Amino acid sequence: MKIVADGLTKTFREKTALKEISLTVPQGAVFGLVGPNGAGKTTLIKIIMGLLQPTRGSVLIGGQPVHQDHRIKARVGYLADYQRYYPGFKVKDMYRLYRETYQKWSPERFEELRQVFNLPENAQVKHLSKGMHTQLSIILNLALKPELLVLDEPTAGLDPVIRRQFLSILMDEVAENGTTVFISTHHLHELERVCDHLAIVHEGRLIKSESLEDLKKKVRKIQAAFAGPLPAEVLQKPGVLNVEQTGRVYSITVEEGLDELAAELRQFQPLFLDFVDISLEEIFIHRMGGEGYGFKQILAP
Amino acid sequence: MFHIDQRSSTPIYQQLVQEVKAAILRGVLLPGDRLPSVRELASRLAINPNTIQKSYQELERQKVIETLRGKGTFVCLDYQVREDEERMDLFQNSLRKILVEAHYLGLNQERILALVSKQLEELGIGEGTR
Repeated sequence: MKIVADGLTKTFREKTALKEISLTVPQGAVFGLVGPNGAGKTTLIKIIMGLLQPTRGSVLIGGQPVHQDHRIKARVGYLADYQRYYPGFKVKDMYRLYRETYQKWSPERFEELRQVFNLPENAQVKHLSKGMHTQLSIILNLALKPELLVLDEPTAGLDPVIRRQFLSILMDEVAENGTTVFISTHHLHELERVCDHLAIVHEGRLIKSESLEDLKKKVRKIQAAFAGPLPAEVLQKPGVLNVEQTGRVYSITVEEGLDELAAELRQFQPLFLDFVDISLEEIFIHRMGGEGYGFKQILAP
Repeated sequence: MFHIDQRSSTPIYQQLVQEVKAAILRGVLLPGDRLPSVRELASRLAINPNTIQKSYQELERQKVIETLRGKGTFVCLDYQVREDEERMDLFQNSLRKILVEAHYLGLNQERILALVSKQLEELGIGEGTR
């Protein structure tokens, strides 16, 4: 199920939480949403789910406006950042609630996954740990046989084994049913495995949205060493995200104009010059550094 | 069977291509052996199925594996080691990086060659393998 967000703006009283966000999540994509805490990720997700009304702009899910047609929600699984299930309910009561609410909901799938996660059916919701609560939510939503899964930090609070188990089930879901997934997280290594598209939000603005393949093709690192000093202005270009220098060796992260920069650097007779692939985490850190949200600032006294 | 390092800067699809080739080289996978389906591997490794698909396509392009419609994906029966200009370039680049690293470690030519021989022996790539 495709998601098309167009010019989403959300203001809460004085505060602007989202500014003109437009993005498209293609059918069948696993789309990662990243950004620092307070960037507006959860607000964006709530608007997409029709839980918040945007101040301006619109969202279409599978071509339908979600605010006007609530039937669409039966086809969308949603893992909120904070689950609020009825505390007095037992796991099996939640089972009954979902079975009676949603026609397509599959008791077999629920039971299969409940056993995989080893979730006791007689446990009371209020006695579940945060991680088990998340597991319950995952199971309830997957049993919906959703065409779209919207996941707000689904792996927060899960132990490494359960996290891996969850991602593995998620990828099976994608491979088997072509389910579209929209996932927000801080675990960039995780996204590197599971995502094919990525969007970065910062202070309510969308600063990047593209396929992981394009992103990793574009953002690369040049590693080079020079016998003599390198004039500073060579590296002062808008496409250069980050420069690290250790002795004679330079690590230059470049977002645009990689070949041009390499050609220019070659004129300074490098001892060696190599292109290095770069991890998603490095891309994120350098990109956010350019937005004034760097490491150094965090570490500074 | 295949190990993927998500912290590595090498793209995951390339890691998988290398892993499959290494498995064939070590004799873990033999010509004619069936590879796991895209779905199986996506779930087992917790990796996007499109990435797995891309690795398989690349391996097919390099004639390492072949897909028989409705039957699955197999290691090519006539799998042979072959030279390919583009891949030779890539290889030479990787080799250069390693040699620079070796130089910084203070290894001389003799030590480097000895290490290479040892690795070749361990991998079973002796003389006359081709």
